[in-house]
Formats: sequence, structure tokens, C-alpha cells
Amino acid sequence: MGYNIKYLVSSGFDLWSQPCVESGTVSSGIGGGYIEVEPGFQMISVPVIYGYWSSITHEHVHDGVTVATVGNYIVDQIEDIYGANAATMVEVFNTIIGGHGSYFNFVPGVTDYASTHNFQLGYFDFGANSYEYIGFFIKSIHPIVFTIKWGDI
Amino acid sequence: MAVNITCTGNIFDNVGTMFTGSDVYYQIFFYKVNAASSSSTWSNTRSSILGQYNFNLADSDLLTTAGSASSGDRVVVVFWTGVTIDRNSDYSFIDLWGAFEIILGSGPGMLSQDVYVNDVSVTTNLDPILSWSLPTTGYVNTSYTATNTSYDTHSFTISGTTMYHWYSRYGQIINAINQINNSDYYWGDDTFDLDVSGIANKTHQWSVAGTYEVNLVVEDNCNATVTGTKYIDVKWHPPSPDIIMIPSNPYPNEPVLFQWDGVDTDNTILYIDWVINDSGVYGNTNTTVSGARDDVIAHLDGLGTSWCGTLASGGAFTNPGSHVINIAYHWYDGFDWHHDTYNKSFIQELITGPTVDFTQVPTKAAMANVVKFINNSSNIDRVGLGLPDCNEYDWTFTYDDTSIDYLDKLYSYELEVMATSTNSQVELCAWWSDGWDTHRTCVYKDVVFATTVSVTPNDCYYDLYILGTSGNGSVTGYSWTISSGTTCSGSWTEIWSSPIDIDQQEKSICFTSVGWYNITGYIYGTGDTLCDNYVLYIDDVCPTLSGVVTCSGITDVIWNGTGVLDLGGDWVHSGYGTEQFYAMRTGTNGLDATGMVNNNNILFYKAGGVNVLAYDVLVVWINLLNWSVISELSVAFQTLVDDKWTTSLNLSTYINVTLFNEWQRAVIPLYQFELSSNIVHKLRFTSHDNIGVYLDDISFGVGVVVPIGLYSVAAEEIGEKTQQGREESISIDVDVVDLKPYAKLDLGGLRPNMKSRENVPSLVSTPVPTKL
Repeated sequence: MGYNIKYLVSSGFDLWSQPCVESGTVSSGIGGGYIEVEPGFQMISVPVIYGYWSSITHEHVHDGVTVATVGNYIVDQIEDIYGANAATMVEVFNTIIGGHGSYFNFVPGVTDYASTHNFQLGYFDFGANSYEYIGFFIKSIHPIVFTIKWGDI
Repeated sequence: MAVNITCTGNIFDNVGTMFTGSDVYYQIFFYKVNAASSSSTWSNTRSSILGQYNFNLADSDLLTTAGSASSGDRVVVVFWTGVTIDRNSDYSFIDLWGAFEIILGSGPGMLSQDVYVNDVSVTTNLDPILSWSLPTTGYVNTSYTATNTSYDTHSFTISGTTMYHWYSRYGQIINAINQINNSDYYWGDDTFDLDVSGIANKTHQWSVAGTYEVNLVVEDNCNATVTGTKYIDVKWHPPSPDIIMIPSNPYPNEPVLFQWDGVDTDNTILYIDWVINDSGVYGNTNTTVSGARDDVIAHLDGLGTSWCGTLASGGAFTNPGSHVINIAYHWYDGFDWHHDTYNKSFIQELITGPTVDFTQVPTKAAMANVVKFINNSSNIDRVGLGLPDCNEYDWTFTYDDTSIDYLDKLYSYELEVMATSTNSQVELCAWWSDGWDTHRTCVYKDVVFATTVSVTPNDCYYDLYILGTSGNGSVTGYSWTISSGTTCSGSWTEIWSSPIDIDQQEKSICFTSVGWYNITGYIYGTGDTLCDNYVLYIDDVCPTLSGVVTCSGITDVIWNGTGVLDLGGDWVHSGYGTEQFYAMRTGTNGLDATGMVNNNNILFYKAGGVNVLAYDVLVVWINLLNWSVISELSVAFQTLVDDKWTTSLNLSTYINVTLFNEWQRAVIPLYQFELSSNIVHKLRFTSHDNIGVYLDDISFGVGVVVPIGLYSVAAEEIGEKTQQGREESISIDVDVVDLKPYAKLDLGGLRPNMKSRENVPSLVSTPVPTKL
């Protein structure tokens, strides 16, 4: 079973990811890492299928049940860690998922978490019988680099 | 970087409640403004997600990630709810709708160049907005337009963003239901125009004056209607005034009528007040009267007038000339009474008078012959005054200031008179009436005479005389030309001409060579210049000596002896010589100056002197008794102003000193004395060596000399007579021969056969017509 990263077909984007191992079960053991978010557009990928940020424990919870999205996995993390409205730091998350003609546009503070535009960070492609992770743009409107983390860190 | 622009927001209904599901359709229209941007395009119809719209311009149904968009490009987003995914469906399928627009780079909801967030709303149909105009006043039977500019485009704001009910935007139908469907016009006179498509204008006219309530109902595509009301005051047309006089150009004996001749389309004039002004030196007969519009107003105050053959009868106006006719017309426009005024001037013309004229027969009168004058006046209908015996034409013939009247003659009368003077005039006058006043119109003409040149030999010179007038009978001057030729028919070479002056009617000339001469005289005036000529052969010339050719007409005697037969001669003789009868040439005495030795002086003195400017020559008759080859008798004048003696001239130069005991005339040009002043008072003859002579008939003379020398000379000017300023001086080549004027054969006054008019100079060949 391989680990694929879906990315925008446009060339030249900065795709940053860290190799990892997905157990598909619990949070422990999936690895993890940090992503430095530069001002402006940046293409990243968070290779997680399930999980969310817990503002109680102030860490990711990989329960194997909750589908990880940009909302619950990244936006909640930013607001909890930095104590700020994510909309003041990230303007938009964009991606195109294979098979869809339209963008998924998640605008912090605007897009409903229940909306499909709160797209998943990865999913299991039954046709390909593989985990696929979403490459997406994050546009930072924060003037300095800030860090988000993923996985077991 | 490829296009990646996100637009999103919440969608609210018409009461501000956010939708929560997918029950709002929306469609995006990208409108290309920048040349480098992707083409304008519509997206597919989309549905809201949890009451939100969310799209990216890079979506595959818009610009795609390969597309391009820049600041200034437009993005119109149309929202609606209902049972149709077609935004342009009938209103029965659409419940709420609205649209808004993003201007890329600066538009509403812009978070950055990449993200635009706008909460939007939709609402129910909004009533059309009524906008129209109609004149507030007008005239009956005149079309007026209700200008309908109503529309069904609206803007509204719910939850922050200004939304629109657009019908079209950037050439695209945004929502077809946002449109006026039709209009109904109710004109207030029980007429109407219903279901006028769209927002079209409509015209209407009313046939009766009054205030009309006009209603306009506009209906949009959702069956919503709005009614507007306006009022128009429709009036009767104002009259356009004019009046006429019948007849328009009345004779003095003809009454006239006045009538309304204006335009009163709606028959609104109730009555008219007339004031016919007829005041002047003949009386005041103004007429003031009122009547219905079409009444005929007569003016019968003229007394009329009579003229030969016509009795007076009542006319129109008491006074001729211009008359101002004032009217006040009273009319009702359906709302108010009006009392307007108008005036116009009419002319009572005077009768025009005759053009008085007559002709002369023959056209050039001959002296001492009968000449007739024939009346050919025109426009003579009104000539003649008084009844029953008409006083018509008066003739007056004047010659040399003597006038003879021939009064009250008929038109057919012909005046016949004897032509006895070129200073003759004829006047013809016509009596006539202009309808009010009598007039006497006259024409006055000089009698036109034929031009006749006569040449009369007088001793060795010829007296020229011209008689006649210019082409219209006037005379302002005369002139002469003399041409020489080799035959009686020329060719002619002009050798002398005189100045043009009234004094040139008579002229004395002499010739020094035999040959043919053509003498032409001209008469000038305000009419055409006329001429006559006289051709003669000269075979006898004046006797001359020493190359000086002289001749003169005697005009003023200095000394000619004394006695009852002598004329003038009032200069006092002194010095040498005695007055003796045997020494006379003519008259009673001459001066015996025999026995003179060297330096004897014969003197003549005139107290106060004589101005010689008017003379050309000094003439001295002399008879030689004793003269030798060394003898000489010099002559000189003394001027009065400075007592200076002039140049002394030798008398031998002017006479034949070989001819004894015969009288001969010496003609000495005055200019040869080189006078320092024109006034002389002494004449002196001084002897040189022993001589004996008789002198008589010493005089000043006026005249010209025409020296002819082998046809090679022209003319010579003698003296300083100012009238002869045009005469030319020439060198003299004398040919001394006997002079015998051919005209001597015709001394009876008849002209010789050779007289010809065929060589009249071009000066008179094309006379200019002169108006009387």
C-alpha cells in the first residue's frame, strides 16, 4: 500500500510534506511534523485521514473516527495555539480534489465547518486501494512565519 | 500564478433570515474588461451549501485554473429561489431573487485580490418604478406625447450588501422578470391605449378644450402594476391675426372693405373692434366699429376726385398714403378670455403721373428752317384737369432768352417753330391729378442743330466758323483740327488742333503752302459731340518774307491815324513822323515817316498800358518808299511795370523789302519780343540808316498761323494766348507761294463739292448717348 499526495496540477507550487506512516488506526504511531507557513500562498499537505485538534488537551487527537479537515485539524489548531481568529492569519485554503471540477475554498470565519468546502486532508481511495492525501494551498496573511504541526507531535 | 480567486458568503432571504440549505440557486457571470483576461462566461447554475455560496473563478465551469483575470474585471452573481434552475424563468417559478457585482481588485467584500466575502440576499418582486412626463398644457387637436421612462430595475440592501433586481447587465439578461411588460394609457377623454408593449411612449390629442386627467399604468413581468396620474390643460388654439383690404390697391374714387383674414382654427373669436385711421391734411374720418369676426367693415369716407373725363365719386380714404388699421379681437381659450390687438398698414396709392417727353423733327435742325416738336409722352391717362374743358399740355419755345408759350394743347398738337438760334429750348408740360393734388410735370430740352462748318476767305487768311449743337442741343465748347493731304480724299495728316473752349467757335487761320486741307470743327456739350468738316484746296498763300508766316484777324487798333472813319487808335503818337492823309492805307490818315536817318524813333504811348495776354501778334501796315540793303526799322515795346524795353525785332524780317510803294502787312508774333511783363505802354520804331516809309493800321491781333512747308511741318503757335495751350510749336519750313483758297470759288456760302464727312475723326464716331 502506497501513500500518495494529491496536488494541484499546476506546476511550480511549493509542496511541502513530511514522509510518514499511516496506521489507519489510532493516533499513536503515525509520525508527525511541523509545517512552517510562510506569508502568502503556500502549498502543503497534511497526511492525516482521521483526527482533530483538541482545544482541551491542546493537541491533535487521532481517534481513527473523526475525519480530519482543514477546519478541525488546522484552523482549530491555529486558533488554539496562537489564541487568534484564524481568519486574521489565514485567508483561505484552496484545493481541487481529483474528480471534482471545482475548487474547495475554505475561508476561515466564513465557511461553515459542515460545508463540503471544509475539505478533508486525506481519504482512502477504495478504487485505488490506497490512502490519498490532499495537497492544498494555504494563504497566510500573517506577516511572519508561523508553524502548524500534524501527527503525533 | 494561475487564477485562484475565491468568492463566498452567506445568503439571506427578504426578511434577513439566512438560508441553511441548498435551496438557493446561483449563477456567476464573469465579465471580461481587460483585454488579457479570459473571455466573458457564465458558470453553471449552482446551489447553495448550508445557505452559503462559494466558488472560485478557477473553477472548471468558469475560467479554469488556466484562465486569467485582472483588476477591473467584473463578476456578477445572480441568486434566486424557486423551482427552476433557470434564472430567466417565468416569475411563477421564481420566488426570491437578487444579484450583485464584484469588481475585481476593488469591489465589495474584497479581503484581498484572492478572496471576496459578501453576504447576499434575495427578495420578492419589487413594483416597477414609474417615470414619465406629459406636457401640462397644450392645444386641441394637437398631439402630445406621454414619455414613459419607467423601469423595473431596483436595488435593495439586506444584511449589508447592495443587491439588485437587474434585467440586464453587460449585455446579459440577468433576470428576465425585472422588466416592464406593458403600459396602459388612460387619456381622460374616455379613450385609452391598453397593453402598449414595454415602456413605449404614446401620443394623444384632445378635441375639446379642458383639463384632462391622464393615467399611466405600468406592469412588470411579475404582473405588478404602478399607476401614475398627470393633468394637462388643453386649450383652444389662439387665433393668428391678419386682415385684408378689398381691393388692395384702390383708386381714389373706389371704396374699400376690410375683413378678418387671419386663422381662427377653433372659432374662438367672439367679436372684433376695428379702428380705421384716416387722418391727415385732407381731414379726419377715422372709423371705429365692432362686429363679429366675419363681418365686413366698409370705409367710405373718401371724397373722390375728378380729372379730365372722370367725375369724382365716393372713395375709401379721405387721405392718401399709409393707413394703420387696428383691431382688437376677443377670444376664449377654454379657460380664459383674451383681448389681443393687431394692426396692419394699407396704402391708398396716388395716381402716377405721365412720363412727359417729345421728339424733334428733324432730329438736327437746320438754321433758318422750320423744326417740329412732337409729343410722345406716355402714361397719359390722367393728363388733363378740369371739366369739361381739360387743361392738358403747355409748350414753351425759347430762343436767345425770348420765350413763346403755346398753352392748353392736346396731345396730338405739334409745335412748329423757325430755328433761328442755336441757343433755343423747348419745354413741354403736362397737367395731371394724382387723385388728391394737381401736378405739372415738364420736360425741357435744348433744340438740337446740325453741325455746319463754314470757311470764309479774308484777305490772306480764312475765317473758320462752326454752327450747331452737341447731340442734345447743349454747347459747352468748340475745337478744330486741320489735316493736310495730297488729294481731295486724303490721306490726311493732322497738322494742327485747337484747344476745346467756348471761344473757339470762330477761328482765323492762314496757309503757307498750296495743297489740300481738311478742316474739321467739333461741338461739345452734355450730349454727343458732333462735328462737320470742310475740304478745300489752297493755291494762294499770304505774301511773306524771310521765312516768317503770319496772318491775323485784327482785333485791337493801336494807331491808324485820326478821322471819323478810323476805329480806335487811341495810343498817342510822338517822336518822328507826321500824320498825313496821303500816307494812309485806310481811313483818313497815315504816318509819314519819310526822311528818317539813323536812330530816329517813332513812338506810340498808351497811358496805363495794355495787357497783351489776349493777343497773339502785332500787325503793322507799311509802305516802303526809301530802303537800302543796309536799312532797317526795328520795333520794340516798353513794359509798364519796370519800364524795360523788350527785344527789338527787325521789321525787314516780316515784309518784302524789295517791294516799294505798295502796302504790305507785317505780322509779328508777340512772343518774339520776349516780354518781361504782359502790360506794355509804349511802342517804338527805330530807324537804322536812311529810310522812308508810311505806316498805318498798327494793331494787336489774334489768330493762328498754319505754316505748310512741303507737307513736312505741322502747326505753329503764335503769341501767348492761354486758350491755345494745346497748340504745338514746330520748326518752320517756309514755302512762299501765292495763296489762293479753293473756297473762293464758293463764296456764296455753299460748300465746295469736295466737302466730305467721311473723314470724321474717331473722336465722334461712337457718341455716347446722353440722357435728357
